[in-house]
Amino acid sequence: MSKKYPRYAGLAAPLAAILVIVLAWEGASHAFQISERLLPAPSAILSALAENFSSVIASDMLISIQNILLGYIIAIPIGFGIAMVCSQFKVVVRAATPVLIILMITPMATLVPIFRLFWGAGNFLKIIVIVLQTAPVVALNSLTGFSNPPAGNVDVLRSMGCGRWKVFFKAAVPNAMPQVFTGLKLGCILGTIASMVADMSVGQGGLGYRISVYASFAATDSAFAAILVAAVLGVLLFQAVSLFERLITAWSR
Amino acid sequence: MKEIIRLEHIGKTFFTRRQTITALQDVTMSFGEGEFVSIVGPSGCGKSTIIRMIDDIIKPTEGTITVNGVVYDNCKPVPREVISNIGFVFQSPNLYPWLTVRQNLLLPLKILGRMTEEYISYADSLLQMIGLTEYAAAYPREISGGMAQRIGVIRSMVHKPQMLMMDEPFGALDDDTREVLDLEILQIWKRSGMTVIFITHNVEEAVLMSRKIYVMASHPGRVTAEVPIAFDQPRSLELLSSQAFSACCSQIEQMIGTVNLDQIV
Repeated sequence: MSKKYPRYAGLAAPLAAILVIVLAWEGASHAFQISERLLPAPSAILSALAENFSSVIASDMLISIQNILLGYIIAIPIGFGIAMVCSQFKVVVRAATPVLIILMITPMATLVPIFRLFWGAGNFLKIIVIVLQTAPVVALNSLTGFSNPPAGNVDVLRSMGCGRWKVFFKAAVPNAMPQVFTGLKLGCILGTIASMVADMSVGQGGLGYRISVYASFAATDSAFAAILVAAVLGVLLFQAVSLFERLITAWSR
Repeated sequence: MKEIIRLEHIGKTFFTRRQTITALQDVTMSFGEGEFVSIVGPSGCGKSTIIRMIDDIIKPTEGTITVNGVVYDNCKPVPREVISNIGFVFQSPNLYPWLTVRQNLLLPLKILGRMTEEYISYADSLLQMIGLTEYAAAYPREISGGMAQRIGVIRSMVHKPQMLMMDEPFGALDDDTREVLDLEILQIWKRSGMTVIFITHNVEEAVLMSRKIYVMASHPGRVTAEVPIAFDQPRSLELLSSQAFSACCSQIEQMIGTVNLDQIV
């Protein structure tokens, strides 16, 4: 269906939507004279960004990028490992699923005050929070995918004398790629959120920390500038994962 | 004729939560080297189960299976060298959607560690024989059901197995296509000298293809007759319209006990 549209429409439509919202926001803040302290106009946010980016926000951004990527990269193999082991044993699936759901739903940032007692305030603590928030959603979605490889494809492998793990890697894993990527995409969203919240409650730099500092000084335009950077980071990470997904699951479309 | 596959007093019982189902009871069969044998019977008589056991996809609960002199141990996987000598054609193509047609075809070679030039060019020649060379790079969703099933058939023989199990390979196709493909199979069989066990519920198909037919009944699944089929070689579609052929078919249909729709109307 979407092939009927001209190619640029896919990019132009969302850009147009963003442009309309920004213009309406800009117009409204001038027309209704909304206080700069409460809701700065997009132009004010951009100029605050230009003013503070290289001096302040950039270093926080680097800390956030480092935390999110490290946490995400550690969480993926942990999530896969859990899903892999669980998928092979029905009892373990039953046992692990509620635990994973509880871990996934619990906002890990709530554990920061306790974890701080173990590891002190710092990036290590933040990365743990990101891993704890990300790994369960990766595990749960991968597990769903791994659990039901197509019976026909499994039979083909068994007819060639393949054992449990060969069947897993040749049939269950490739078949699960769409679900695995659902987990990876949710994981990068949750990981980004977790990193922001961890920054706010741990301190020690990072975009989340910078936002709360700006807000406490009522520097709303600069706070929004830092939020904008955080949002762009999240979008870029999500797009990178989506690109990878399109390359790997080309067969399913 | 040298015996290559032997089943002795095979039984298979499935235990479900509510009941115990005896799928097969005291099945004894013998298949000679290079023989083309069909197994016919009503659905649920366990005819697919038999060839799945021979290929070690499932285990019998009773009895012994001997293939090429190797007796299967009902508790351990059957040795790889026995299994890799058996090809299996499933009821549905069971192609891997994430692999192209050619990658699907080469999968058995990859798994069995036989990615040599000789085997690969054999695979390509099979692809050419069924006329699908130009679809080599297509994904399974891009080809028709009939094409997919033909790929499934040749995939079962890329590793040059000595024995071929065919589980109602063309059951989902229309009669005309099926007859053409049946003859294609017969040609391949003649050239390769494979031992073929062919499962079908279509009696005409079984009589057209086989030297011998096992007739089975259900509840519990068991063998009720062993019928030699003595028509001349090579067989052609003309055989289908001969009197002797229809006589043979109706004889077997009576053994199965299924009511032929033509007789009602």
